[in-house]
Amino acid sequence: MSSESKRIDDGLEAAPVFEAAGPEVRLLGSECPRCGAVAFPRREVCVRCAGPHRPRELSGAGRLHSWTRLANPPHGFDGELRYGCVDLVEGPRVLAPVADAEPAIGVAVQAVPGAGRHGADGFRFEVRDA
Amino acid sequence: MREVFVAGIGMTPFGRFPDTTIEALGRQAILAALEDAGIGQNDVEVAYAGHARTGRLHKRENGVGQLCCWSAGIREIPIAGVGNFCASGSTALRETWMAVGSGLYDVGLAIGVEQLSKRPEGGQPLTSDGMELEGELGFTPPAFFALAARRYMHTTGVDPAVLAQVAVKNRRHASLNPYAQYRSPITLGEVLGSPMVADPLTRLSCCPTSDGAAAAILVSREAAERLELDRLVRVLSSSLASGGYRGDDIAHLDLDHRAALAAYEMADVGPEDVDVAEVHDAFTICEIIHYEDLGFCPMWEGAAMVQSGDSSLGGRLPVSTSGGLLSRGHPLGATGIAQAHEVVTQLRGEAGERQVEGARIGLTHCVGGFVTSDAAASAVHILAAA
Repeated sequence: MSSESKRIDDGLEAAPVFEAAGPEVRLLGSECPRCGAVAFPRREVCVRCAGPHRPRELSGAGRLHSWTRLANPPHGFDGELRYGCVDLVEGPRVLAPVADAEPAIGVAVQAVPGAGRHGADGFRFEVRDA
Repeated sequence: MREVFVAGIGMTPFGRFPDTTIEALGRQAILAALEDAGIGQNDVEVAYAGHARTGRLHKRENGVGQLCCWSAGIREIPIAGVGNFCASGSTALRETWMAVGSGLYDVGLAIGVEQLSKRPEGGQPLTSDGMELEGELGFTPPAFFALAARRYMHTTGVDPAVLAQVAVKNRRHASLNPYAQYRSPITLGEVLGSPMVADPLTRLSCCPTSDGAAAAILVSREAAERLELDRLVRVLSSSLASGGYRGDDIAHLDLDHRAALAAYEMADVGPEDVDVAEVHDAFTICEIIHYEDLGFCPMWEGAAMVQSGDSSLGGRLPVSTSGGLLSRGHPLGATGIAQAHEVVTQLRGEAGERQVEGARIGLTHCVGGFVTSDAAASAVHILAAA
């Protein structure tokens, strides 16, 4: 990704929320050393035990909890948008586009580079055979 | 908390009124509530106003309560605005209940007002405050509830035609409500055949964009006696919950369950005691999920309530007798108070053709907004014929 292209997290988060890792995307979250809760995006205070969090890179691997097709997507998206709810293997839930049509609920998915609003650099999930 | 009663209600018809103003809508609802209670402007001691989109659409993030009260001839008293997503009106009602119940005031006014027809992105789903990052990846409220719907269908085997029955039922109820935005009956085929918004939710599975206002007068027993008020409905309880952020099954809303439990406990009643309910049916799937989270039926058995007619007028527990958000309409900040308007009308026995015979206890439920991937605010009120 070019350093000049717009990212989905520009101006919205204190730190980047994702980074490319070859053909995949790592999600930049955090974890609580005290209770083990994992968060995405990164946070300072644990919402489960109120302890301090430390940064943790998340694999981007997860399971598809549910999906939909937005026939009428928001401003800045063209055509139909496939959209999903993913539970990452480390725990956090992420709402993001999905590459595949008619994916099975519960299928393994991986975060990969994808376009956000107006084509901004972001991520989406892709079904993985596993 | 001491006893609090609803002594007056008023609302505008809900619909699309781009040529009016939030001031005129609010004034109309306040004047109707004052007249219904049989009190004057000078009797009102405190007011709370619910509104969620007046900042972005009307350049009035603050001061809507003062504007509408000023317009209706109410001055000098304490007034505050309440923004709490789709639960803004319910939360204004709750603030008013607390103000009167605490003993600080004897007569309070709750108002909710919204005018969404002026939004420039008409035809597009409403966006959600606080979901900026998610929004950059395509999030919309219909997307969230479409995810809930597919998860629900996956778990239960229920198909989209069952979800669509909620829209048909609520339109049938709305046909009997002169305040409702859409009153012409619709068929299952029309709901399923309307344009897809977020699979499996079609346009007629989603609530419309609406304008309108609603108001309620809340009083103490002392004020009711001093002002010789009648047709009182008692507020048994009010609860408000926020998200738990645990990543539970998306087909249920834990905060609704917690808000309901708190309201039942305070009211000392159970879901089996509820005779009539207004729930936050922003999308067809929502009403079915709400049956379950509010305890009207066992978990994952909500679809049977609409299939059997249990939640229809004449059924075991009629839900959304006003037509609900789906057909009465959903002017965000006005909705919670419009729900109270319907339940008070039912508990007074004044609902005419849509009267639930012998209704003694009614419940209202509003849930709104998102924080990360959880809903943000849920409010439940339980009311009883006095």
